[in-house]
Amino acid sequence: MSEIERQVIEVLHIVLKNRGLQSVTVAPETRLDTSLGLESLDFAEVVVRLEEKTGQDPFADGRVPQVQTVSELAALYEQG
Amino acid sequence: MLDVLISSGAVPGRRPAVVTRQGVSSWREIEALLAEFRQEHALLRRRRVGLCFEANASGLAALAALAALQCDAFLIDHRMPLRQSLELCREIRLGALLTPDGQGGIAVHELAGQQPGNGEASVTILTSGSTGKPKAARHTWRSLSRPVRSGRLGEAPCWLLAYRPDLYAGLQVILQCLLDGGTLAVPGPDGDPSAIAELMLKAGVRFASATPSYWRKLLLFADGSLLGRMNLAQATLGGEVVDQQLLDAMKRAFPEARLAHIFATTELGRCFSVSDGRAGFPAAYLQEPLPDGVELRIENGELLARSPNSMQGYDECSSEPSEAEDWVRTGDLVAVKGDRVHFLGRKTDIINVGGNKVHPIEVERVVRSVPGVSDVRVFAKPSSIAGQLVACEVVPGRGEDDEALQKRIVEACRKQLAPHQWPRIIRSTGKMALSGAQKTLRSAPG
Repeated sequence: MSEIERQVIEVLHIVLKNRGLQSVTVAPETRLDTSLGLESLDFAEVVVRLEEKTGQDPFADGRVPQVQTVSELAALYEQG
Repeated sequence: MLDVLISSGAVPGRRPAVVTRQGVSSWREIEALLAEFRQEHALLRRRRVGLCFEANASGLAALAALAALQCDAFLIDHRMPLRQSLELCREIRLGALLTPDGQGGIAVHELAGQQPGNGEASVTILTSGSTGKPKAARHTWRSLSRPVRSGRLGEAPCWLLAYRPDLYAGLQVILQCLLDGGTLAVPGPDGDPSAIAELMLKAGVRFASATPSYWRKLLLFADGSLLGRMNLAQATLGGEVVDQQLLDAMKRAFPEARLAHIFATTELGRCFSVSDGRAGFPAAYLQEPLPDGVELRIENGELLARSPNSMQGYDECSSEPSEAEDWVRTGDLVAVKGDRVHFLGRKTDIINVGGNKVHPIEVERVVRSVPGVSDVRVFAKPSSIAGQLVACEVVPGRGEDDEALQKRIVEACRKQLAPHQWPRIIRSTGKMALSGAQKTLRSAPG
């Protein structure tokens, strides 16, 4: 897995843990939908945390890129 | 009027007027300076004049001289750089700016193109407007002095001046102290809590009024043995919402002192004070006018007030319309619970998380109650997805493990708050940022 995928997974684990969902394992192919247990505000938190780590926000300026999986989310940061 | 008070001989001349870390000035010195300034600067009579106002002998004498010369005195933060002050004075069309000359006197900077003065003495307080241009709230000496109650103490009080002297709260302390023939203890600019406590003890401070954030800083960081030796007769809190936890901590720290919290604004003046040891104020205050004529009501969750201690209006050269309104919207959100009205926070501090409104104070209350948290500041963190998220900065107690503390904070918030209220970013910091007016900064970017 790439470095950015590792960072995305780390942030997801932190957010999940804070929601009491620490037993969930996240991998690059994990889908970022309700099956993961995250709500929209949790996703907003993930994006803010990733911005602090990477300096990037792929969702800024009203952009709405479609992301289904962890690796697709990570790919957004690799483009930047 | 300040000048009349000082030169009337009402205050024994040799009594200390101002005590600082550097030394003591007597009322006699101020009286002498007042006479000197009145004569030297007689050409300022009845003009609009800015004063970089510091609470020391020459500052008090200068303010009194402007009163005697029937000037419209505009008070300016003495820490503002000269160029900025001059620009500000030009913007609001003042005729001159008075600054300290570095030798205990005052320097006059003449400015071109001024408005004519009102013709009688006034004091205008500059507060930061939301658009950046200052709001200039004009008071008369009468409206400023109206809330001051003198002669009740049976002693010449020593007051701590913990507010900026150029703002309403600071002026109230100065006037109250003067009218009672007392002494002002003025801490240095660095704000070091132990140095403040040392000055309070050295000067014999018995009366102190400050913002909750200022008191919290003292209680948390000043040397505990210094606090324990203080002999306060009265401790007042003002300028920010007072929470019950702090009131209880104040009671423990100063068991002999009378505790009060005051609600006042620059525009409305002093509105009311509460000294029953409980946060908020009695719902009964909404039923009928208070003893000094202040009236309160609630509209759409916001507190409105009408006060005889109000300003005359906004200065015509400032950013606001000049008429003082009848009922004033305070910008403070409140909620009635039983016999009590509670403050929820400023309208402008509300955090909007995906359309859900969050009051920072509510979140702070929960975080502050977590063991190991000394202090907390909750603020909005911009989010491209949700608009804003809740973030907070905490000052951990000594020796606390950051990671363990964050875990406890997250758990407490999960149990006691709704998801949109959870602080999503939690940072530890050594000390809390306060504004120039000694208030917690909630809208500063984290």
